[in-house]
Amino acid sequence: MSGNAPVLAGKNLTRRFSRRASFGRTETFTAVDDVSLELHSGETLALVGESGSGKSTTARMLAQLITPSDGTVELGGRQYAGRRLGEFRRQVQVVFQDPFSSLNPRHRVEQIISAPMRYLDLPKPAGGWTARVKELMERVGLNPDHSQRFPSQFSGGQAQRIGIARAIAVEPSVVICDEAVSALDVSVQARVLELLRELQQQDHYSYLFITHDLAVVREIAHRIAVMSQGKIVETGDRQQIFTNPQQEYTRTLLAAVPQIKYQRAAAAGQAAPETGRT
Amino acid sequence: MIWFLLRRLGFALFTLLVVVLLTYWIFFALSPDPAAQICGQNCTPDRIAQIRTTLELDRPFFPRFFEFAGGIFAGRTIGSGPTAVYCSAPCLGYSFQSGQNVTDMIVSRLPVTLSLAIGSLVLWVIAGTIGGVISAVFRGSWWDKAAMTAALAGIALPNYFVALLLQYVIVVKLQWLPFPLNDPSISDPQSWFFSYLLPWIVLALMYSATFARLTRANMVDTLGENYIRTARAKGLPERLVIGKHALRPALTPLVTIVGLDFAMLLGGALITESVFGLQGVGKLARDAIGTNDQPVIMGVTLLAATAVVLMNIVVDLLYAVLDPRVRVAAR
Repeated sequence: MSGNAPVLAGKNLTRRFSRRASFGRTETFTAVDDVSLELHSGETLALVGESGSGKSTTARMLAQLITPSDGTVELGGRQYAGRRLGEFRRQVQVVFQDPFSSLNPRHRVEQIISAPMRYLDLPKPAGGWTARVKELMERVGLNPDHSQRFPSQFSGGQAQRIGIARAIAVEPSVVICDEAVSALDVSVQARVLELLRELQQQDHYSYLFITHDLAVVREIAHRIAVMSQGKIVETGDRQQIFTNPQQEYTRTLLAAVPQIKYQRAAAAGQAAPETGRT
Repeated sequence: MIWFLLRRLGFALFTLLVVVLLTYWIFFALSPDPAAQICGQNCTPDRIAQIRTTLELDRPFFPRFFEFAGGIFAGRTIGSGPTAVYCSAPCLGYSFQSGQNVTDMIVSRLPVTLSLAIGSLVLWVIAGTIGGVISAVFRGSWWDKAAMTAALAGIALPNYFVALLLQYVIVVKLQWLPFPLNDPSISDPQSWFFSYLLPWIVLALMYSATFARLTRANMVDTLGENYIRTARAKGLPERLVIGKHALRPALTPLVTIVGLDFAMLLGGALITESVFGLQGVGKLARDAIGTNDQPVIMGVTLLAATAVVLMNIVVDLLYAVLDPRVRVAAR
């Protein structure tokens, strides 16, 4: 998995937010502090941490949705910014947390899924956009006859499948999943995770998975990076993090989920999410 | 959809009937006796009685009202014997002052009012949208602050003041525009345009100020939506993110406000028309109020009410066009 050059890398990423305090002073808050991350081809890297640890800010910098205060984002060893952002988006797509609010409620599914292909200048497929959209809908397990519906006419899990179809429409190399399954209930979560894994096996996407849910992490991650207070405190293989965490914070984080017998589940390797729950 | 429309039209008709009844009653019960006013200072009781008979003021309320309401839809014959005149539908009666047919009076004033209303509508929607969108996209910038201050001024300043000021500065002092005509005709487009330009600007300043502030507020809200972030993340160029994803939901609720403001203008811009000496419906209403010319006031009131009621229906239909979800729900 690793060893070769990273697909997407964040180098020394720092993000400060400043807000105006009283008496004209400015308070600065460092949300992400000197974070470096490497995502390799075909792997799933989970970025975990508690709320406010800076994992979402890191993800948004890596997706180039916000600009880092310091540090760089490199895709295949090159930087893309400004006018070349389109080329970056062609390779890096994002699936967001809340499937409903993330999809424009006034657009039909076909519009939603085909927009990235059309505006990122992909060649028009032989069968036209409609055929391509239907093919994508089938791939993510949606009924292609529903392409003229609006997002509100779908369930949460289905809506997230629309989001996934939209993300893989341009055949990117990296998909950043920002809490992509946290808004779904557990049984739907498992099926969406299964879909993501299938897609990865077929097309070798690299996933950056932002989550606070360790059950999800154990289900899908190859490698894990643990964040706390804007810094990465530990990085390692799934096995190693779950069975032999090196840092106190990681141990606390794992212990904070009392229902999960992480040692047994991690040792089992391919454990299904239900088996981890007692 | 057809049923929806019919239902709305039926309801509109009912609303208008209530408006007619109420205005008719107000003038019947509350206003000073028009006969005494017409008669003037050297007046005898006999003369007043005679005028009251001619104007049919001596008859009881309901027969008069039903005759009037019937005349609007079917036309009616006024008076009897050789002096009787047939007044075709929509009959609003005859002016107490000039003896002219009120419907004809209003129709002859409509081109001016329509020119004024449509021209300023175009100007205020364009100016308001551009101002509001730029303010929302670059909020906190000097443009945002300047535009919103100007908008506040536009709302706060009375429009007769702005009208007089602009007329004095631009026409009298700087002489950038020719002196506006009182009765510009569209057959001479150039003088038509220049005569209306200032009134348009005055009205647009007032309406676009509200419009720009609301556009900005709605736009700031929609720009914060998650699907805007999605649109950026999936790689849409910023102009499409703003134009296709943010602008539409921001403007849809404003259709109501534009529709109602426009309807009000169709009922005549009283002050602006008076300041610029334009012979529109608003001027007609103002003159009629000055002389207590009840049939004319009734007529203009009814026109204004009709405009408001009809624009409400138009607004509902526009909603269906602008928000595709409404169409699905209606189906």
